[in-house]
Amino acid sequence: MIQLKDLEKCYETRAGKNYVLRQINLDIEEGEFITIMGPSGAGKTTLLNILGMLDGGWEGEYYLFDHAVHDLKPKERMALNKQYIGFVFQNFNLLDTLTVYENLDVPLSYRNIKGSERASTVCDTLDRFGIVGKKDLFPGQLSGGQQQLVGVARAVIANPKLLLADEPTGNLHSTQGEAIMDLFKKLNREGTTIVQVTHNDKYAAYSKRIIRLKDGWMVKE
Amino acid sequence: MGTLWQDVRYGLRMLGRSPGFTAVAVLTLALGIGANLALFGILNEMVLRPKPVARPQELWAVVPANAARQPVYANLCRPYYEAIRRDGRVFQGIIGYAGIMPKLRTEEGAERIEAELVSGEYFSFLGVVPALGRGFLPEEDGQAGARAVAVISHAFWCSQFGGTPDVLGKTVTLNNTLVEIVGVAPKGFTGLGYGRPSLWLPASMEPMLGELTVYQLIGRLAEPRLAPTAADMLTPIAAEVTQELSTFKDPRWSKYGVGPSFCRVRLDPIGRGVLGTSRARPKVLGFLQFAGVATVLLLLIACANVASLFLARALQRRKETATRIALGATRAALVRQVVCEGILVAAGGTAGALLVFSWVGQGLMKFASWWPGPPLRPAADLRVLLFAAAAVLAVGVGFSLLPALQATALAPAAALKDGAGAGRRRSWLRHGLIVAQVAGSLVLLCGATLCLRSMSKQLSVDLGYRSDRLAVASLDLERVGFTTDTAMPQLEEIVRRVALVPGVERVAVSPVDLMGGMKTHLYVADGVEDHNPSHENSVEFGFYPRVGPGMFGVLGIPILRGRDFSQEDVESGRQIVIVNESFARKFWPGRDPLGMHIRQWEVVGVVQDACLDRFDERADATAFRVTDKKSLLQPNLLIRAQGDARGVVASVRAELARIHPKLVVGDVRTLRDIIKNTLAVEHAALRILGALGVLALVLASVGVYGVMAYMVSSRTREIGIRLAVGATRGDLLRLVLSAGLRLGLIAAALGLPLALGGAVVLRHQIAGISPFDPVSFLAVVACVLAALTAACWLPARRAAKIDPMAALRHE
Ligand SMILES: Nc1ncnc2c1ncn2[C@@H]1O[C@H](COP(=O)(O)OP(=O)(O)O)[C@@H](O)[C@H]1O
Ligand SMILES: [Mg+2]
Repeated sequence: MIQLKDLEKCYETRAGKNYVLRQINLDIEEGEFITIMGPSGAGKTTLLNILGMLDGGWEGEYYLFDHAVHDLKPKERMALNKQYIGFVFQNFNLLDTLTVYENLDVPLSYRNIKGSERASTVCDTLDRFGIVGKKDLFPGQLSGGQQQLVGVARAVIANPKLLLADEPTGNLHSTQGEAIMDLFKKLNREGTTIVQVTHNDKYAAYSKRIIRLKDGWMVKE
Repeated sequence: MGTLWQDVRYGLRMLGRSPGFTAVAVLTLALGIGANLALFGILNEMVLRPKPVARPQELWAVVPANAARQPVYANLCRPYYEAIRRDGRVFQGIIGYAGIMPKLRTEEGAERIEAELVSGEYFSFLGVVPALGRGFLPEEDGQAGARAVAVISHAFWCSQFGGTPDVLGKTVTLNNTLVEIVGVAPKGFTGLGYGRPSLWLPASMEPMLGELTVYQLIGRLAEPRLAPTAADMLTPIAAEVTQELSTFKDPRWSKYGVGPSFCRVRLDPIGRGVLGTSRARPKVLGFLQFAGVATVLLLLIACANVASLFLARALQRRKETATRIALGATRAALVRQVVCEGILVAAGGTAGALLVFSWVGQGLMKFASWWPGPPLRPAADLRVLLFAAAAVLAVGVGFSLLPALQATALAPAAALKDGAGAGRRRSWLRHGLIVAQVAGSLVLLCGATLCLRSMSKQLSVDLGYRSDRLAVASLDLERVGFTTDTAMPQLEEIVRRVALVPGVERVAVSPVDLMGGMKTHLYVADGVEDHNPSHENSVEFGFYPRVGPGMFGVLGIPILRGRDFSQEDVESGRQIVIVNESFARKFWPGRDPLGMHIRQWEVVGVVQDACLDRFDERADATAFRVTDKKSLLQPNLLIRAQGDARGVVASVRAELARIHPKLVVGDVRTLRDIIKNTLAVEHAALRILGALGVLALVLASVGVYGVMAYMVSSRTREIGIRLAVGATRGDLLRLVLSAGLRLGLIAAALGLPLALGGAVVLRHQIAGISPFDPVSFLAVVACVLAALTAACWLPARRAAKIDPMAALRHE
């Protein structure tokens, strides 16, 4: 599904080039559940953002299915993001001024879906994630675990093939974190490919493969 | 008192700490307040400032009116004055005066100057003590013992006699009459009208000078509240005089007559302002009304603008505010502090406005190009200062109160922790202020468009001839030394030479003033052959202008029957007229007018109807008399160009200046410009509303830009999230633009009814189109929305360019 070949990323700083990712070679099969681990500043978020097409300035090759992402223009990359990818953030990143229902509707509103279909999709998803009772609340009125539940629901509502989660449990209690990980496992079983970043070995154990990063390099187990 | 002083000091320090903010706020308010102050200054001069006479509040003008008590045109000549004076019940005293334009002999020839014929006790009645010499003696006002004496104005004394005291006893020559100077009026006294007469003459000199006069009668009422009953007492007296005049065929009666609608008098206060009961009054008041609406709107917009600045700043200071609350400040104290700063800013703006007040007033009066008086120069007096003080309070409190209330409505704990939260609730005022600004500019622009459409609609009416190819120059041959006997060859020479100017097709001279309100002298249509008025007492009017040979040809008005006047008719003084179709139809329906008589004049031709006096009126029954030689001393030179008249104006002007530099009075103008000038109120309103509307739209657009830029920067994270969940750049562009346009649409929804209301209020000033003219309103809405889109464009672009990674990292 994904192939990275000699992927490199660097920032130009006053002191010269600062490499954040070095020679990343990685294959990800459809249906995998992968954890990226590594100390803070290792480049985990950067890698995730590149996979999710949010980051453009890198070198090397990146194939997503049969799309050569490195040859695509920014606009075309965003189209791939829209088609294949869902994001879960450590700090949830829900829109404060919108209700839970409206937050779930946002991704659909960007995807040329009819209004009635959108409404039914949102309701299905609310139901599936057990948050129907919260649909008219604002994010500020939810607990962290509930917010992340909404975050995951929003990430998968448009049926992405690939779910990218950057420390999804970083701001949660352990019970809340386990609930999210159980949810990931269930989603993975249903066919969603998942790449997550975590510092927690227990949560890493939910996945089948662990990739370790250090100073931008992939290190062998 | 102590806390107030503390507030002021603290406010000054806070304002001084952000000089840029303070400067913008003060300037914006100076603009809004300045326009209003200047307009109030004009109003003050026009109708509020007491005249420099004794007890001005007791002075009332006797104004001829119709049954509905609306002023009508009628000449209250001397018999009315004498009858009212004789009665003595109503007024403690009464005077009459009439503005005239006699010819003053100068070294070069003769020049028309402003003068007033006044009844004998004029100066003593007004309590005006001459600076030099005396006023008039009772015997100088007697009909018989008329002596040629004059009191000259202070300005005339200085300009003509160098202000020397030996002026008494010297003479000036007016209309060939030697007049002795017996007094000099005090400085600053310019009579009761808006004119600036150079001298005053006893009314008994009227026959000697041979001028046309229309008298104003002014009386002194001891009790102002008696005015309505006093008018009822005067009405029968006036009616009696009218009856007598028409029965005895007084010569003055046939000359002027009084309109059939004149049936009563009313009393109008005249002690204040230069406007008095002048015929320009409705025009001036209409103008002030228009301008007032516009300047008040501009002020509101300026206030909304400054209020949003204050709001933004107050929100920036939330942490400080929260700290103060935590330390025990009451909300009232906090609000008072912000309002105090608001008043300080308003005071700064007003001070700035006062500095340029007189200058702005003069500028505003430039829009009123039709103002017949001398240039008005508003001066600050107590009333203006009071107005300014009221403006400081109203504006200062008005724009700062809401921001103060909103900025202090916070839970200190939340505000101390961070600045964010409750975003949706806080933006309503910010957005409301923007909406108010946009709506205001929309109203102004709607007004301007209505005026524009009204003007162009009116200008496109059919006059009966081609106006775009005509130009007019008024000449004064007398001023450059010609007399009735010598003027004819010179006129022929002028016509010959101007006709040779490239681009000129035909030229004629005629005393008639095109579009010039000739109908101030309507004549009773009597002596019309074979015409029996429908009933005994009906008075019918005709319009009897004198015209020169060739005028109809130049204007392109076809002669339907008979012939035009010839130069030979003028030379021989033949008694002939040409009538228009309306005249023939009105007085001789179904008969051949040629050969008929009006008094002693024989009809020699019939011309097609055309609008000569006003472009917006049907042609009246008109009998054109052939001009006499005397009227040709001050003729109008009518020029028809081969193409657009604007093309020949400069070369005609140059050619006339070559003949004699002082030949032309005023300037050579196209007829179109003259017509435009008669649309003066619309034109002035158009320019004021247009200028202020554009200014307001610019202010509002800057405001919209600010709000949208703020929105984009404060929602960077949100925009990043939206990008991460699949929004495209186009979606974001649309997000910001639609937010801006939503404000615009709300503003349109609020502004359009206001604009419609304004149009209804001012509908009498708008002719030719409905006040609900949809084209105007739609065009303005489209224009405003376009401006808003432009204002949102940059923030929208910035939103679309946001890097999602950076936005999401930014917390
Ligand atoms: N915009 C930027 N400019 C320069 N350096 C950056 C920028 N963004 C991230 N970095 C650097 O890239 C490295 C990797 O960051 P990141 O991927 O966020 O690490 P982590 O593994 O903790 O998620 C860090 O050293 C960080 O300082
Ligand atoms: Mg990270």
